[in-house]
Amino acid sequence: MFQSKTARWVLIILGLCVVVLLSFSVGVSVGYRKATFSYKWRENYDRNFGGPSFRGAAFPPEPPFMMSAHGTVGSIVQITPSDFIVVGRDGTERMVTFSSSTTIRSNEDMLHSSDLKAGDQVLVIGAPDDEGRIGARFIRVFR
Amino acid sequence: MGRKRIKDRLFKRITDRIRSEEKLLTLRRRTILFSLASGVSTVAFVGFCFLLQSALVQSELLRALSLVFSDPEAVLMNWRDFGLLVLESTPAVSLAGVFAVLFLLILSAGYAVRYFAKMISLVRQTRMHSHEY
Repeated sequence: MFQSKTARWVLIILGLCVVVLLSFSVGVSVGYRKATFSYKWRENYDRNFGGPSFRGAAFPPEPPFMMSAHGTVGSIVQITPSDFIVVGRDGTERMVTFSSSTTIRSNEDMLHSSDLKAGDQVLVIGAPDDEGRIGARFIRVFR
Repeated sequence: MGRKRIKDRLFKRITDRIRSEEKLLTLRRRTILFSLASGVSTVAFVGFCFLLQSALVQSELLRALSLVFSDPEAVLMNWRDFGLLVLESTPAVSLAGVFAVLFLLILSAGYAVRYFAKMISLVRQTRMHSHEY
């Protein structure tokens, strides 16, 4: 079967189709998650960040293109016992919640949520919730 | 008879030379075209690389990937969220642009070299036949 040129070309084309379709479906899945999170971030902006941004706009700002839903990198600007707000490089705020199961590390040390403070550079891995927030599973603090 | 043979030989030499000059002209044009295409692709490749660099700096991808080295066990425990974070922060359009331009650069450079080599070989052949006559 593989000696035939036609059979080889058919196999190559089929393989390419599989790769293209798989890539497309991964892209659709990732895009859907980002779009859903961006929508929920905007819908819950007032509740999470306490009203319009410092720019004085009457409505919540448009999320930049589409936001990553499973983590963020930035500096902490505000912190409470159960959550904190991270501002990323693009200037967008993101609410991150943590629980007793969240692992927080700085260099080799394990930290507690009470060790986090405003101004810390953090990287968060987590999952989005229905209120446009990220539930942190792991936080790496860069000090 | 002898004169006829000389005339035939001369006619054949002229037609062969015309054919090889036409071939040479085609090869020269193709070499110039593909060399220009490689030049444009090179400039475009450099531009896209800068674009990709700025997209990578803007995105969270590099920081996220650094976790693989600093916290591999955390990455393994949260592989699904980590994988999705990497996919979400990959600057796919810039990457695709870089690969596409690189593909065009390699293709056009390959053709430019191939046609240039054919051109040189044809020039040498033509010179050799001129000397024989």
